[in-house]
Amino acid sequence: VDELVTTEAAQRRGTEARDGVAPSFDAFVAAHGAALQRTAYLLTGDHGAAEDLVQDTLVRAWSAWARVTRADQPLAYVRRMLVNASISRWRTLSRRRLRERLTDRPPELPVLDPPGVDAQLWLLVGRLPARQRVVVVLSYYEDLSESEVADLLGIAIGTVKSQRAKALRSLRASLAEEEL
Amino acid sequence: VTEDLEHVLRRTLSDRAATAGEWRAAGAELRQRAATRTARRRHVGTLAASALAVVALLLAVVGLERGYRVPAPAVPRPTPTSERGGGSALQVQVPDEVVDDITNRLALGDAALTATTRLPRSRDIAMLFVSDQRAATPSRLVASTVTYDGATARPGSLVWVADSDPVVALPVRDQAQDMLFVLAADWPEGEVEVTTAEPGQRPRTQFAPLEDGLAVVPVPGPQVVTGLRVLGPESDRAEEYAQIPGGGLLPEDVPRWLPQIAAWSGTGSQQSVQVRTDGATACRFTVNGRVEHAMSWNLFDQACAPVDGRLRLLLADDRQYSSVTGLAPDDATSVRLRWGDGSVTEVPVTPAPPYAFVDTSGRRPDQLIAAEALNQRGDVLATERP
Repeated sequence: VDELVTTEAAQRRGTEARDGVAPSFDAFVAAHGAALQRTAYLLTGDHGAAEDLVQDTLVRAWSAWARVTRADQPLAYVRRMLVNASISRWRTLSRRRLRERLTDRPPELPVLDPPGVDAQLWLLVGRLPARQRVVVVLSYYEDLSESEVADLLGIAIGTVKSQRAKALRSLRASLAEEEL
Repeated sequence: VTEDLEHVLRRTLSDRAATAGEWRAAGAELRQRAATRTARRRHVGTLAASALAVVALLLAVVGLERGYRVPAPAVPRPTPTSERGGGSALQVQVPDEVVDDITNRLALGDAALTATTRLPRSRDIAMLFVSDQRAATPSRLVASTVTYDGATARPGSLVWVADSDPVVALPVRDQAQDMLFVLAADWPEGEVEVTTAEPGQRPRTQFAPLEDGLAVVPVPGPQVVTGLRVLGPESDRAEEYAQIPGGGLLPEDVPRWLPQIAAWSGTGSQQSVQVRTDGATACRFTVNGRVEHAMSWNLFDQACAPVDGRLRLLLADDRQYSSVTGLAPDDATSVRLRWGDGSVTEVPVTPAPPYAFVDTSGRRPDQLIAAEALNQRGDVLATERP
């Protein structure tokens, strides 16, 4: 009971103290939630994992909202949180569905991809090491420059170049093997 | 590939992104979730803020050592027995309600259930939770174990983990047997090699297969586990990883692979002091065996020195509540400790290299004036002052 009282009181205090900035967070979520989910889907390759990743990232972002809004580009800040979370191997493991989830919705119908380079490429992107995949998504989907990717990941521009080159080399080799 | 790869990549990613699904969460819902998480964390305390906080958490865990009964799910649930691989003991599913109840009651905050396994003797479920301590500097995760017998949940041990750590290993209790619960994130297949060492005995190694990145290895006791290595599948043998379990607590300059216990004090059920070595470096560790299986590797406040044939004192920073340990020169058979009150204590040196000693007299290192290494004739070979 003490625990619940403490929890509720802390929740109330936190909520009251931050009522003033809630609209800016809500507006941010409404404006960018979908875009972040698209990026997360490209990073994880799984709809459920992408949804979890974005929601978890936004929950963290709200906990540090003052810091987020002080950043030059709040969206870039949150995107960095999202990308870093997607790389963490332990968080990835936690997203494995170890817990039962009852649902009244039937599983999604399998999507039959038309055979071709695009479908094959998507499979191969999913097999890239996490950091290479991130670099590919940020470069070719988010259209970030090398320096922007380096800044976002906190790595050197040379590392971005080498990771991207490795990824492209690997994709090219795999596609060639499949004779596509 | 006739089309430019980068062009195809842009098109593919853009097409796939369009299938990401509808965004459904509202800001208010996420804020509510954040408030709940913050409140839970506040309740737990800032675990990673300091060693003291961890000790406090440990005490809280000890208080719950007997465990508590988990209420049965309110509505009928599918039997939590869907195990992979047709009877594999690994990755047992646990109902959401049970997991939520355990995280709430054991104050695990926002810890996520990361792995489960069925213990071979008791058939209890061992659960590994990982929680995020990014507020700490440096950012890190906390891994902790809970065992659940279908009615009662019991907290186990915990270690800090860096995001970049590929392996987590924690002890769990399976009836009277200690087991090492190993989760290797990068190796779904392969083997775990566990080294154990007991005083006066050669280190022993044993192997266990990794299934879906998990292995459970019986060990004589958590305090004698001195090393852990993950060997990938045959084609991947070069990728090895070695560490002292719980090594996340150690500073970077402490070697992670100290396979031999050179000397120790105490018994398996009591707090003991060990001098561990890899042949080049020796470190003193306090191993908290007093609590049956909580924080079995208490690696705070270790001291290290090179194994160079000289008399070396290995003293913890806490000189009021610790004991004197050290390394002795090759010909030394004992070390004489001179205390501030004028008394002396003579401590035997281990007979095999690296020659080490642990004072079991209970005297405080802050009262030590000098240590003298003696040979069999009683000649003083070397003197060292703290």
